[in-house]
Amino acid sequence: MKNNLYALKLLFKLSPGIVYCRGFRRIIGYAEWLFYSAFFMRYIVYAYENNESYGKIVLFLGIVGTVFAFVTVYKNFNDGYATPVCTTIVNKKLNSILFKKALNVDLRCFENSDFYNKYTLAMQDADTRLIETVDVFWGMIFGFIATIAAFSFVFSIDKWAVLFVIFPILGNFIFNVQLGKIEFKRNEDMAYHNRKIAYVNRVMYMTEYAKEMRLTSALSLMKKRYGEALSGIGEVVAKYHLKGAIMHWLRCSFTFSFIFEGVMLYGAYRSIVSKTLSLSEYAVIIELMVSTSWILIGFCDSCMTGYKNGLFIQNLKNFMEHEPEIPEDYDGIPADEGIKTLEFRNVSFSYGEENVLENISFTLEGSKTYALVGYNGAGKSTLIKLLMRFYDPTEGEILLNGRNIKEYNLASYRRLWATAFQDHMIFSATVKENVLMRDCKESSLDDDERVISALKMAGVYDKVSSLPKGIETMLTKEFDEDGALLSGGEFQKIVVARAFATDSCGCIFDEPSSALDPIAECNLFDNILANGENKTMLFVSHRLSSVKNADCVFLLADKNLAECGSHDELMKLNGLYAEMYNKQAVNYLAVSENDWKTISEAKGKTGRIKTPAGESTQGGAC
Amino acid sequence: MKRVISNHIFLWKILFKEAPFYMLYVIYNAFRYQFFIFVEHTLGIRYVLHCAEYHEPFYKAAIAVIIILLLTTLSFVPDGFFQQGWTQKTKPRLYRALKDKMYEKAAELDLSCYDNPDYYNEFVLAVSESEKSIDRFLELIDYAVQSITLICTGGVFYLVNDPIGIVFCIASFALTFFAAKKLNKTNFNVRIKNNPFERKRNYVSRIFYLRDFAKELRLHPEMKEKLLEEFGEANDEIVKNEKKVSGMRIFLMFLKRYLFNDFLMDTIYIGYLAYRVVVLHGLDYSTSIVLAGRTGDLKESMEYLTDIPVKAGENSLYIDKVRAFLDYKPEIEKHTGSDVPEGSGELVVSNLSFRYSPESDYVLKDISLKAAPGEKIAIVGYNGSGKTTLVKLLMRLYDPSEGEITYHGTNLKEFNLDKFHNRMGVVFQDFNMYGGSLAENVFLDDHEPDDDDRKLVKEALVKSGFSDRLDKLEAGLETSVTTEFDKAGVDFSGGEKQKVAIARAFYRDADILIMDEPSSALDPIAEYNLNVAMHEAAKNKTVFYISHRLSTTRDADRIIMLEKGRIIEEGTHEELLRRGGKYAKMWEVQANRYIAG
Repeated sequence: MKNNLYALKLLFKLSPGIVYCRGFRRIIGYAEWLFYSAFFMRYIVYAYENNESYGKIVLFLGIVGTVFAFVTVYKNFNDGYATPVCTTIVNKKLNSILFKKALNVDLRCFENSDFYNKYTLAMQDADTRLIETVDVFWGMIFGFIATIAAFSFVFSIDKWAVLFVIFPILGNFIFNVQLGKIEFKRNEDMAYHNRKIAYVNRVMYMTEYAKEMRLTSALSLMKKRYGEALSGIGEVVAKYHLKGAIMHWLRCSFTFSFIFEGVMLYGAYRSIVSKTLSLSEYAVIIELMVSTSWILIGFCDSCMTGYKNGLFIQNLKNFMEHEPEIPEDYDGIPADEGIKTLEFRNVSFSYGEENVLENISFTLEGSKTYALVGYNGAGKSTLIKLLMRFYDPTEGEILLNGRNIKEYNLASYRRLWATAFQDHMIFSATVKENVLMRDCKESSLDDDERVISALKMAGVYDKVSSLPKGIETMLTKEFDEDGALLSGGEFQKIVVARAFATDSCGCIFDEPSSALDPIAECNLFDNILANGENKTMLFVSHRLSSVKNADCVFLLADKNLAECGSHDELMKLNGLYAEMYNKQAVNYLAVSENDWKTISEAKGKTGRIKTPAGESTQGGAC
Repeated sequence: MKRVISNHIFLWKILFKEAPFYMLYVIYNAFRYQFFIFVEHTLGIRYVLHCAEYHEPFYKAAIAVIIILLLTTLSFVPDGFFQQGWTQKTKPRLYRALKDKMYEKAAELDLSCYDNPDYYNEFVLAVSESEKSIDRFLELIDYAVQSITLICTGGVFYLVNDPIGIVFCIASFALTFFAAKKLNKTNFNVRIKNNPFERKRNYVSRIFYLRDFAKELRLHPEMKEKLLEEFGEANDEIVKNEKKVSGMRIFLMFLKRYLFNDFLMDTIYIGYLAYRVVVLHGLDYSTSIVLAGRTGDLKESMEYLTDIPVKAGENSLYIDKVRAFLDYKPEIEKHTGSDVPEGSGELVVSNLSFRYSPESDYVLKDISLKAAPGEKIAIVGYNGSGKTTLVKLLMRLYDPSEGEITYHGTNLKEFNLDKFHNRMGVVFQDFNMYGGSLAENVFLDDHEPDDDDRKLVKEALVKSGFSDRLDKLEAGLETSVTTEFDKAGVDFSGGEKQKVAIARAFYRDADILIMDEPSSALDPIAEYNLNVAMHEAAKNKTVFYISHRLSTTRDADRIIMLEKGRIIEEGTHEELLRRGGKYAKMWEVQANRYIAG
């Protein structure tokens, strides 16, 4: 109830029109219903019985017809104009609020699956569901009023007949509610089996499983799962079906039969035997009972949906009232002095109970290059997210030029860094917009040059220039049939180009090359390093050969900075880094001398192998 | 129309075969529902009012009411079991009956269908719509039977008591139908006009709400502004469109809801009934009351009936997709063919060329190669050189466009596909785990493992280097894999998954082992461990190893270098280095990084 009121208030703020619309719609609906079942036929049969003149009946019909003509015009205005327009306005206003909220949600909330599930529930069609909630709320209010009105009409005709209403009340509010509970429990028990079926279904059509489906007998295994799920469902159904059937019988009999046949019988007795009920009253009371029954059903449905909507509104409310720890408009002193030093001081971080990073300290100095390496899942990406202030450390602090990064204006702090992440996302916009990441309706030649040179450095310009509209080509087919779909590696390069096109003091690359072949990869790293001169640069990579040229390498292991130093220092240290490096290089190294001899002999014959940098065509070399 | 009917007959046959009695009951149930409403609300009311009007003895009315009460409440008994038990149990079975056919087909579909995005989208749509098409079909049956029952019972009642009433019903129905059609068209046009803006709206919402884009939006605030602006514009356009048609829409709604409907039936028709009663004295009160009350239902059921072809037509489009999918004739026939001879044999590729479709360019051109039993062959080359396509042909996921592949001297096409695949172990980069026990994930079929079997599975896992991890699993081979539907399940890391995949090859004791870039997403230690495991796996087997990291392929008996679909160099590592060609260059680029400090 409280949540429903909250929804009403919220919607009223967004568009009072839609609140009135829905309210009037419900009032008119119930009023019409009651009028026809309680007055209309009663008047006419009453006129029959009292031998009223035909003219009087026609006059009555004429008045009713005219009134309803106006009512219908209002209803149509409501449905044909006010509702679609107001709905769109609600969509616009509500989403603008929610978008801003969503942008402000801390990134770690997104990664918390509990929060994310609830959040997704709150966001899905939030606008239409908010309106529906208010509609159902009116349904509850006016349904209740209509029920009372119907009771009093019955009472005015025959005070004992009102007692029959007890049947549908029992049917709806006791047996139907019980039935709902049984169904809810049954669905809950079935959920596990249905998830299994959904899983099998997904496996059957997803491309990534297609190869294995052909090479192995996994199909029969999946069919077995399906069979298990079906027998599981059978068991669940068997557990509830008797209880369900009994409740169903009680509900239907009480809601429909007992009241209806009861009133027929009672009315017949009063009208035939005791002769205390006129024919018109008898007819009306039967009609009225049917209507009362349905009004009650509607009222009961509204209450049940209202309860369910309450949960949705609760989610929405929680989200609207969510206070982010790091709001996007976080203000502070502007970070305009560039990057002299960036220090992690005793930083620990945990997503929940266990620390992912523990007591990490290091310092990055301006215009140097750093590499971050470690096992899969060692926390490299988390460290970078801390650096970008997507999260704040659980303990310790991060200092830019000696000042805690929390003291800076967030937007200006993030602008210090150009970034490329491995989980890149491409927007449905032109290549140019995807590189510059802003609206490019009015852009200068300078912009074009910047984009082109960034694409060249990322090694994807050849591809882009082969597209029909060059850098103006739309990416993805979302809105443009002629939009370009590029391969994963090419998309990745465009994301990397974003970083190249950004004029910033620092650069961060998080495994920018995972989808590239070795040649493209090593070209890319050469360009990254070339672009990183005079900048603070941090990159993550598994290919230790590309890490070698960094000024300093950080190795993350066991939640901590296990080793740190230049490549040569770490090799001398002969620790985990050296082990990793050697394992990766073992085959290259094992016979190196021999190989170099053969290669140099070969070179003697074929001439020196050139190594032009900045080219990523196949077969080209670094 | 013919197609619509034949599609629904097709569906009916499948459903009827799976659950004949259920399907018949569905029909009966729809009939029962309307029939009892007719008995209660038309016959019942009329009879008791009639008794009251003509002062019949009370017991007559009482008996009639009690009989009706008994009949209706009795009919709720099977109804409860039908809704709460039978339907709940049977619907999933009906779904499966159709999906089973689709799954079988999906598994024998040519892999090239997956490469064709149009075909693939149709296929996904067919699978995802298959359940809904059954739901819609059952709903249609229900609708149709209910409407027909009502029209038959109500029609007879009107014919007997007031044939003119039917004229009113039909007139109102026809006029309303006409107005509704116009209205639908108006609405449809607005929808079409709004469609691009709605898509834009949904797209922007998706970007803001999905976590995938969260980082990007936080890092690039200007992009956010652009999207917000586009969102606002899209909504403004929708409002404009809605406003433009609202006048027309209100007018048509007035015709549909009032003039042709309420006015005609509640004012004119009731005026006519009153005329018959009051002026002509040709109709008794009770009949007039019942007639006035039932017109709405009769007209509504006519409307339902006209809806049915439209709805059936819509549903038919989806069934079309399902049928088109089921009728697809795969080029690679799965169930025929001979056994593969025992033991490892020679695999020969002769003059093979391949392209994905007759219009496209050749992906592979004139490839010939021989692999003796137990030989280790590495296939190297840059992205797009055709490496992966070549091994897919070796696995007979595609058939060559020209040339042939033979094993034991027999063309692969002669073998039974499943039996041939059983002789082959395959490890990819993106290996999948299936919801089930660890043991099931190794043998990958539906049999129940016995003790011997478990021993084999365990041996296979030990050989693939999985034993350390296995010891840590409390439930051992019965450990539930993936968290898809078991929250207590285990999600393995990339390296672990690949070891399970290798164990599959050990378990089958395959003669041919194919490894396609298995290690490129792993960290150096995991990659190294995987290589050691694969080395073990490769003993006594013919091996094809694809990689663009040459460090992992250098020990091969033979290295084949592909470029643009052709074999450009072939030989051992040393031979190729000595040649100083493309391979040597590629090696130098990669090794350089590690060796030259």
